[in-house]
Amino acid sequence: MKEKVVLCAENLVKTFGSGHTEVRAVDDISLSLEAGELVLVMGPSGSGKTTLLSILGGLLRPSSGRVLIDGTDISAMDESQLPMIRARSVGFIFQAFNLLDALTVEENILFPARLIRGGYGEASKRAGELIERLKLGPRRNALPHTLSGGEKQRVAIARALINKPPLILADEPTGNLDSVSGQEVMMILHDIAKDEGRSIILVTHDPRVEDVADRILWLEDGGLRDRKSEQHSWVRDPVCGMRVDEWTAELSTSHEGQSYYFCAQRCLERFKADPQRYVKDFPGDQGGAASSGAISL
Amino acid sequence: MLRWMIKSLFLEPLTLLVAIASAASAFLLIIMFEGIFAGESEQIVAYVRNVKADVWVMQRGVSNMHMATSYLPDWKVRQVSELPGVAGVESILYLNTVVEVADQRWFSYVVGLDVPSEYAGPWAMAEGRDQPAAGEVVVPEVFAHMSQLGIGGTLRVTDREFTIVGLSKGTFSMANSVIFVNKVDLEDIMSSFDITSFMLVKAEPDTTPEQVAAIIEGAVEHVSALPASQFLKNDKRLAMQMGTETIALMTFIGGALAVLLVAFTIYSQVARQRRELAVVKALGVTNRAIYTSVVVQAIGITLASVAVATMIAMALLPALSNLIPAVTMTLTLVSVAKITILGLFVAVIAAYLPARQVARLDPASAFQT
Ligand SMILES: Nc1ncnc2c1ncn2[C@@H]1O[C@H](COP(=O)(O)OP(=O)(O)O)[C@@H](O)[C@H]1O
Ligand SMILES: [Mg+2]
Repeated sequence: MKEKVVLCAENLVKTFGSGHTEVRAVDDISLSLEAGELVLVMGPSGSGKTTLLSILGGLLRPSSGRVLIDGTDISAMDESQLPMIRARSVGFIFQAFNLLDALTVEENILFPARLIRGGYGEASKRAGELIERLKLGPRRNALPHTLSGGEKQRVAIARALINKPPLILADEPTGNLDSVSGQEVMMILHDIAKDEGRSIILVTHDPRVEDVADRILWLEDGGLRDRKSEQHSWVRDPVCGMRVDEWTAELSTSHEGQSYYFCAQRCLERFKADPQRYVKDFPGDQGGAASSGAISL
Repeated sequence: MLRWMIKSLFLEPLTLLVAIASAASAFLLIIMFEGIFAGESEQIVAYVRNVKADVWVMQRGVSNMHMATSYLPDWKVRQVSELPGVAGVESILYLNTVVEVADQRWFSYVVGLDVPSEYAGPWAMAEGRDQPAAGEVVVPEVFAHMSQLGIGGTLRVTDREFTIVGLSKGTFSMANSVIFVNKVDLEDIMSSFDITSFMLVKAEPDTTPEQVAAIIEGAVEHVSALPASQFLKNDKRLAMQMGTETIALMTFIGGALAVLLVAFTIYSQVARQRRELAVVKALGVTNRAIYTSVVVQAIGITLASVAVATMIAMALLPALSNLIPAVTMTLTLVSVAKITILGLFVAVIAAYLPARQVARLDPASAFQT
């Protein structure tokens, strides 16, 4: 399989602060990504996933190392050239959706198209297609605050695709969604990689995507580590019953000395509203302090 | 980009409205102040502007009327009247003094008229006679409004009582009003006789004021003769000079106030939009494009404020002049143009701080939740 290399990162290091407060958020990471690849980045909270994504997308300069997008070394570019690279070559999808409140669905989708020269008419046609494809037709002229979370993220995906960037970077795109919408968003991203040949780097805690990903990168303390699948530590979300990996789950809370892990914000909130209800249904099923974690499912 | 910013502004129409209204009041302050100043300056030269003289003749070296003193012997009036090119001469005696009306002291020109006077007296009357005899005075209508003094009332000028026989229009000003008495009384007050302060000369139809002035200066010793237009210009310059510093200060204060208000609006708009601005930067909007939109926003808000202020001023000025006759205000195109230019400066200065704020926004923060 001789596919075109879309993204190439060499020995990326990013440190924050200095002296004894120095944090090595990204520690000597190299990776390359071919067209159409869907790569998962997983790892515990604070392991450097967001920092890595920011560097790859030209939002943050690495302390050392370089990033090539489509063969162009973006680490060598000066500050004024980076916005154009971001607009043209990278599609960003955020956990917080980040739609522009004042613009309608269609205007949000078309926003990046105005940042690059030419082809606005064509982009406008493409926006129509994306709206159809992502089932946003009836919401075309709606303002973001009237949309559901799933709809917002679909708008954000369309916005990331409008300029046909070779690279899409998504940082926990389902983190704020319920599991059904989350599933849907994951399937859309998967289809985009496979049908359109776009390369996607997806930071997620959702183990369901592991099956469809081409590769999984495991990040710990800023560095890439091998992770065998038996290193999963499956527990059940006490609210929806979905399996979550205790090691990578970002959403957790403790109740009466026991820790509980959740697949989504919504489950966590429901749990917090009435812990007793879910604890009762879940006697000892979740790993507490005593039962050192792993239960096999 | 700009479309988005403007739409964002309109997302909070009330905030926008308050911003425009408050900046407009700052501009209104400037317009009003300039209006009052312009109106008052016009009033200071009201007498010189309105009497129908072609050439003014006065003591040599004197070149204007406001705050000036000029004395000429009476016989020179006859001498001037016999010169070629001179169609007629009227003379006035003139004193700067303070007149007390209803416990308020008004600085006034007291014009002593050689009655009957054809064109040196009041140019517009509201009521009564315009030719005061001995012991009589013609005062601005506004005096009467202020003090309930009407025709037949009495008024003190220096140490003498006068009976009001006429109320004139357009003769009041906060800086100096014009009142008319008989020349005989003024001579008596000044204890000097057979003198005159200014000659108001009419030129023959075929001679220009300049020619007549030259003829007079050539033939009569120790006098200055100036065409009325030149004389008016000299007085105006003097009147303006007295207020320029005040007006400059007020313009500065009003302008600074407007800067603060517009800057605050833009600044809080940018602060409220920090997250979205980081997002658009992440999506590939350049700092320069954001600056431009911030400046355009500031200009838009400022120009809207100037427009609102001008419209309010246009609506308010005539009403205000009627309401407070003591204040003369005029709104000139020049002052509106001045305000607009000031507004553009205001906008650019106001945009500076927010623009810096935007430049420092980290696009990577778009990833933060
Ligand atoms: N702007 C920053 N300044 C200082 N430290 C930072 C900054 N961004 C991230 N970090 C630190 O870098 C490490 C990695 O953070 P991040 O990339 O956000 O991790 P993840 O996305 O995997 O949770 C953390 O220890 C975090 O505190
Ligand atoms: Mg993160």
